[in-house]
Amino acid sequence: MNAHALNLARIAHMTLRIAGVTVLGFFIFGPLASVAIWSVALQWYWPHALPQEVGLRYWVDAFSGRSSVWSALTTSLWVAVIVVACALALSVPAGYAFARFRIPLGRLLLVLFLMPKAFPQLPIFINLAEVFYRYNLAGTVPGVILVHLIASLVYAVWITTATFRSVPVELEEAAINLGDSRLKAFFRITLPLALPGIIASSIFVFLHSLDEFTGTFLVGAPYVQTLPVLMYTASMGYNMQMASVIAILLTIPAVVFMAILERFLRAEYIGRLGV
Amino acid sequence: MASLRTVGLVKTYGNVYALRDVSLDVAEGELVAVLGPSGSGKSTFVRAVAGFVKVDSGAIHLGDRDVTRVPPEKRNTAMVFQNYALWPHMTVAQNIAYGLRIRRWTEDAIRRKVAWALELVDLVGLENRLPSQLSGGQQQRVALARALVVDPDVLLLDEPLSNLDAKIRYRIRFEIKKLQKQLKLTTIYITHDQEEALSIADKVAILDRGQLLQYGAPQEVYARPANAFVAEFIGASTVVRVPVRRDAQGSFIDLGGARIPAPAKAEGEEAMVIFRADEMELEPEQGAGAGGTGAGATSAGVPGAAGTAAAGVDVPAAAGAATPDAGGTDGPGGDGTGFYVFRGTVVESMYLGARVRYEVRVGDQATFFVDSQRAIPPGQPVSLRIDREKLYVF
Repeated sequence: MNAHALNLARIAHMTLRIAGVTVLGFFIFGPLASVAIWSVALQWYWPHALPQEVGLRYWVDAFSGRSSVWSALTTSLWVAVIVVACALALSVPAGYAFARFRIPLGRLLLVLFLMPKAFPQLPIFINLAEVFYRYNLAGTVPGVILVHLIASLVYAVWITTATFRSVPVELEEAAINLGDSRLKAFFRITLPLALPGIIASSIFVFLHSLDEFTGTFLVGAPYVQTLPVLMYTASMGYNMQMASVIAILLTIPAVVFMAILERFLRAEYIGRLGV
Repeated sequence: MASLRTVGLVKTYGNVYALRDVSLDVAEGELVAVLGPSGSGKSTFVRAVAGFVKVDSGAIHLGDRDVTRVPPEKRNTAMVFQNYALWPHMTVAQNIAYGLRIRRWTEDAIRRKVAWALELVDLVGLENRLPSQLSGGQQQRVALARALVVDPDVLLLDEPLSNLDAKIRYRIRFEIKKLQKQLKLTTIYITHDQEEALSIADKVAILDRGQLLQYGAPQEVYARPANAFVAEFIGASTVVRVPVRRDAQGSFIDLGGARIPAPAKAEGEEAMVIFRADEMELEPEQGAGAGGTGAGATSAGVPGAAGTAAAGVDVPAAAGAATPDAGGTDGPGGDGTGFYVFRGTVVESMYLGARVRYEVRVGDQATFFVDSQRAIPPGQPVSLRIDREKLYVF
């Protein structure tokens, strides 16, 4: 009797698990599969389950020298690289300062970096766009870079702060004790040890910039076309194939970097995130 | 190497003193152990000497250099950190060579010096390992080698053994001592372990709440503690507070039948009586009443009810009427014996291997902790004897 009940429970448990995995798989891979199919569909009429005509024309178009996809891709990459460089230039000194010195209102400042993420994005960016118009930044690449930077500094500063905190201060003191200046000790000891965390934060910033839509659209459109903006315009014009090609292009770096990130972002850093 | 002299160092954090007028003279080639409980300021002291803590006032001299305002990187001290602070991304050899590279030695000279250091701390063959591939004791020796190669004016060891197993701690302590003598290193050795401090140091400095309480040779500190804190910290087993009384002959305390002269205090104030467990002699009371010996013998063999009861009855009488034999009542130095004698009753015993520690009730409020090699059953009346020099009253 007892054994029977136990068996039943096990079967019920198993069924639940299989159902859970199926649902999860559907949610993750369902949209991806649909996007992948759309990207190679030349003709696909409702209500057919699969496209009538399949080919790589949109892919070829996307990579043919002067296509809008190609130019959007280069814009996106350039913007992302510059955003990462700016974020590093700001977050490495800031993160070090937050980690090592008692900064008055340091906690408040750290929360301040979180602010752009804490409120609904749309009104923030609309207000920001208005400000940008006043300073002739709207519709320019520098304006878009600035928008990305403001929104992504939270990752950069928080992660680098946590990373620098995870490097014991004695390691620096030991170098200073033997005759290094603070600056040299930073470059020879602290920075190399914090590098994995800094790389991780750069990846976050890079991916954020690559995927950012709302701010880019409101500040940069119609003159600055990044991939997400182009994807939006394409899908609005019912060009599902082009939108799907862009979606896949945008997914690739995310997947690759997340795999790298998983190796770099060690548990010890995340442990220091508690401010 | 150079001598180290600190003059009136003061460091406060808020309104807490981390260092309070600490003046210490360390001769060239001397090893001074700075001993104190956590929060005593000993780490602040060593960090002040290294330059990581800026003192509020006072001066630090290395040899004839006044380094009080010199930044840490220019002081030429070498510190071995409590957690060793080895750089995990560098090999053993790179760690050791670091200070030499800062000093712009030639590659050839660095190679020779590193080889010398590896030999010195017995790590030859491990030069290409990373710190994470070494045992705690080996890491400790790398930290030591890294500090020694730069030929520092003073070597600073911040609790260097506290992260090691008890077994190797003992061995490395002697290795450090040997190295220190061999290289004639002026050394500050921070520790909270009094045995470690006494065994390794030429001089011991005892800190409490930022204050230097006593500074002297280990033998001196051990034999003549300057105050109650030092006595207690240097391994006293028993600290008893007893109210001071006064009569024509002066202040005294009455403890377990013995009259002990006390420092001049107001009547009713408490004095502290302090001694070490191994310096009090414990002896079963012979004249514990008529038939007392018989009862005692019984209770020693079999924990018989009669024996225990007899001893129990005897206690208050013995303690109350306590008249120490020899010169206990005659006042200090009245005769030639030089001992204090107390009467008490064994309450509890704890087996410690080579000896047994007894909890002995003396008088009506005091508890003594005394070591003996004899087996004495609980409830047994005993007499306790201690050299007057070894009983500290503050």
